[in-house]
Amino acid sequence: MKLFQELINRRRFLQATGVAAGAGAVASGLGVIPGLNTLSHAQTTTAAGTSETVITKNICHQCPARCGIDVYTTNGRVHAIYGTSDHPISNGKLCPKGPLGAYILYDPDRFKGPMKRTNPKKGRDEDPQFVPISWDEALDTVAARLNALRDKGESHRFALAYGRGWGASDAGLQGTFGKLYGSPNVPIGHSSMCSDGSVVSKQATDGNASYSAYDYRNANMLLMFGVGFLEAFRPYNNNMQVWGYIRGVKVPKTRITAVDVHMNTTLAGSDRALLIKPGTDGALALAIAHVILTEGLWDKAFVGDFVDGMNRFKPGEQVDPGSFSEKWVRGLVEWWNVELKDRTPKWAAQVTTLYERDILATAREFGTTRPAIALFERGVHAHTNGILNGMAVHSLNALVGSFFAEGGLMYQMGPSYGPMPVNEEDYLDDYARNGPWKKQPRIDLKGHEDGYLLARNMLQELGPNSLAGKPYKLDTIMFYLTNPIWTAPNGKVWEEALRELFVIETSPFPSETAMFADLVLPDHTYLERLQDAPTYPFQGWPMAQLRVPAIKTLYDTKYYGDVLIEIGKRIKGPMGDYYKALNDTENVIRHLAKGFESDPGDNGVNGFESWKEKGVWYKKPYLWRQRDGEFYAWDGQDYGREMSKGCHACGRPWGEPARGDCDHAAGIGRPQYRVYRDQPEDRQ
Amino acid sequence: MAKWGMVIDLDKCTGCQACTTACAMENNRLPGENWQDVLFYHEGTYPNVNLMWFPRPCFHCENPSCVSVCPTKATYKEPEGGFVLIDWNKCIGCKYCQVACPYGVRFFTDEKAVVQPDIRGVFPGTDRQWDPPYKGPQDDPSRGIGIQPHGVVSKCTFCHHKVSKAPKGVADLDEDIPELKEYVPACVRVCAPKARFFGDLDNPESHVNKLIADQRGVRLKDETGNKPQVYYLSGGAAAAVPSLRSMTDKT
Repeated sequence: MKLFQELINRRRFLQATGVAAGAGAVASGLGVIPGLNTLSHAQTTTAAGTSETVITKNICHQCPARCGIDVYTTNGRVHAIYGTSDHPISNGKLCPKGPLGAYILYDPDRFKGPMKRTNPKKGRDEDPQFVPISWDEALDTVAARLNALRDKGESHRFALAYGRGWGASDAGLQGTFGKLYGSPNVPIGHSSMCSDGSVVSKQATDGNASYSAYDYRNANMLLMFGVGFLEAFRPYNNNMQVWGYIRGVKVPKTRITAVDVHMNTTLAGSDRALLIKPGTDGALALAIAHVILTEGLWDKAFVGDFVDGMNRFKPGEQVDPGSFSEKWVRGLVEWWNVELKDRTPKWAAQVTTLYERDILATAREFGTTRPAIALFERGVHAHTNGILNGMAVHSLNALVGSFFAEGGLMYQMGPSYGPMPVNEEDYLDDYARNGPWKKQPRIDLKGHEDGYLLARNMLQELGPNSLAGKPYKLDTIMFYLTNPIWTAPNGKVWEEALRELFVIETSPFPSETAMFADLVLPDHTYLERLQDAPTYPFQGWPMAQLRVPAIKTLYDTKYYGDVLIEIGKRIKGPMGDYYKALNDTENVIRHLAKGFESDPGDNGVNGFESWKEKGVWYKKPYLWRQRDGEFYAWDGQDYGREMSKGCHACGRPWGEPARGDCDHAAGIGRPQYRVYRDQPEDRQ
Repeated sequence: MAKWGMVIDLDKCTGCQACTTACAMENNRLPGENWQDVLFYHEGTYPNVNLMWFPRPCFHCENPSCVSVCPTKATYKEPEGGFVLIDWNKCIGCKYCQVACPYGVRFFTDEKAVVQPDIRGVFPGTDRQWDPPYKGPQDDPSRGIGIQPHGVVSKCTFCHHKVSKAPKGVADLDEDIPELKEYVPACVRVCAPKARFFGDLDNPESHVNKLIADQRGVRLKDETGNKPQVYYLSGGAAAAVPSLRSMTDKT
């Protein structure tokens, strides 16, 4: 067989050479062009940028970083994806996942259209026996169930569980849906299994319940705790761009210490790698704080100082709070007295299994290098003591004065979106306002004394709680971008739970959860969607990206945002009227883009059409900066205007509740950042 | 005539493999048929480990041993640009070139697929090895560009289908210059930390020549006399710091 194959190959070779010798220029059946060569040349001219190749703007969907991508389509086929050159996150670059997006689009295992289950038995080895149905039948089926629950006063038994949210036209619609329909369980995000620990740590430390925005490029030291900066930390692509600059171009080269529990490329590329015992990052951070205080390395302009300038932070000794005058921190001496005074490097060495000498060297380097950033992620907060770990690490940024500093970290601003087409407040019926659902706790017992008081979402509890009937049994559950049978820590319990529920799945792809579905309402893949997405916390200034379909949808799929709207239209009463007025997601996105008309982006985007063309709206610079303990606002040329003690718009001091409609940030002409992922109340 | 060359800064390379996947996308490579790859090495045992990586395209040698051994002259050095290419119309799949290459950059995919299941079963081809819906428009079997027929060796082309269209006389193909980005090899264009540079080694004004001169660029296995047109820059890397656990574990 092998020999036969080789003979054929050889014959082909002989034929080819014979032809070349005889005719000079002959193509293999595809045409002949004059000149030196055959068809090869003619075909290669289509490689890039010819009239046949169309480039559309999109946002990669393979992680939350939201890199702008250029999607190359020739003759209706997507064949290449590169980073968008004038997109502030991707800058023409991509991470290893980005280029392979077409694998997702053309995945042969995709769901090809709406389907219903015909095998009533559910289980691992049960074939669901899905049969194709029309979108009308699918949507009518969902609406009939939801209307019936509402008629019985049991609308709380409908839950919508979701993972990654992108923007106002998908996850942003969910909160309104729950409010109009009347369920505390619409939606419940997956953030407990994601990065809530980070958000809560920051909320408890500096009051900003969000991820931080960072100015890595201007930092001279990065102290990373469990972030996977060169493997996963969002925005991965931009992190690597930063890395190439701060490690290969910038003078002085930025010093990097990376703390993690396993060897990885970040540790290998760092100046100092600390392999720490899992879950003890907080102890290391406390020891670093201890050294910074005892050796007098803290940023006195930001933190404050002893009244007489004499450092009284001595290991193991109490300090009189009255002897210290605080500038922007609160409770530093109290923290020292109850905690830090005993948290010596020697103590931390026992807890963390690191060498005392390395802890001391790290602390001294971090305390003496400005600007410096301490950043952390799941390696730190994904533990039972995770929030405290995160608070300890995040506090280091205050000690070295990095908040709002050049080369420090800051809060993310939101985009200047226009208002939604209609206001949902005008479409609330009595049931939505005062129905029996108002008295029901959330199925995940968020904030409940029997649940977790600090948690923002507890998606993994939905299945087990419903199965146990505590606090009640669900009736219908819908999933968007989450697959809890696979991702929740108790997958087998979820299987039991989903056996007794009506399950609606919206992913374009089969999954463990989809195999328990009664209805499959498949979404488009990201290269087929029109979808908005404001940036995750990045560099502080606002940005909003747009996905533009590269090709007509391959199959009979429907964008999830439109599925929600279509279900909404079929709900009785004013809720149906609201969704009829909303019409579709394109209408929503067009209304969002109206906000850009009065606030054009730096790249000239001033409405829907230019947003589609460029794929991104952004507006630099960040509007505030802290320098030597004083805060300045951008005056159009520089950070030259010293900020008052209160908000320009409402007059109330910063850090105190705003007056009236003001949210403080709006006082400077910008809305605040919204996390579309896990804050159902946010819809803008 | 240009002599295209690449410079890879090992101190900036983050080992992310975007070069590898961008190549797979641009050139429609099979999973595991990594014309461009980043090879990982480690020494020691946890927690005292040293992790290293090495990005490796085809080196398009000035004096390529693959060309010398090819019995059918299927592998050849193209004078314009200095690309080492394969004419699939002449290749008989004897794999002599694979053995002769000191750098292991050539592939013969007719045997068991490196990554299972074999994706060719999903997108079967007729006269070519497979026919994925996302294949690029470029197709030039006489230069080993496009999807290969059965029974031939394949390798990195330095993205000949892009580079050969570059404006004549340009010293460097820098992806950050908008009018040049479409001519830049996929692995260079995608590189987030900008660890890769591509330019004309015969142009004394080129940035790649400056980098090689100023930062003492080296070629891999120079003792073979192959004279690669790919140079590496490195100032050395850091090592992991041992932890107390290793001491405790041993006692």
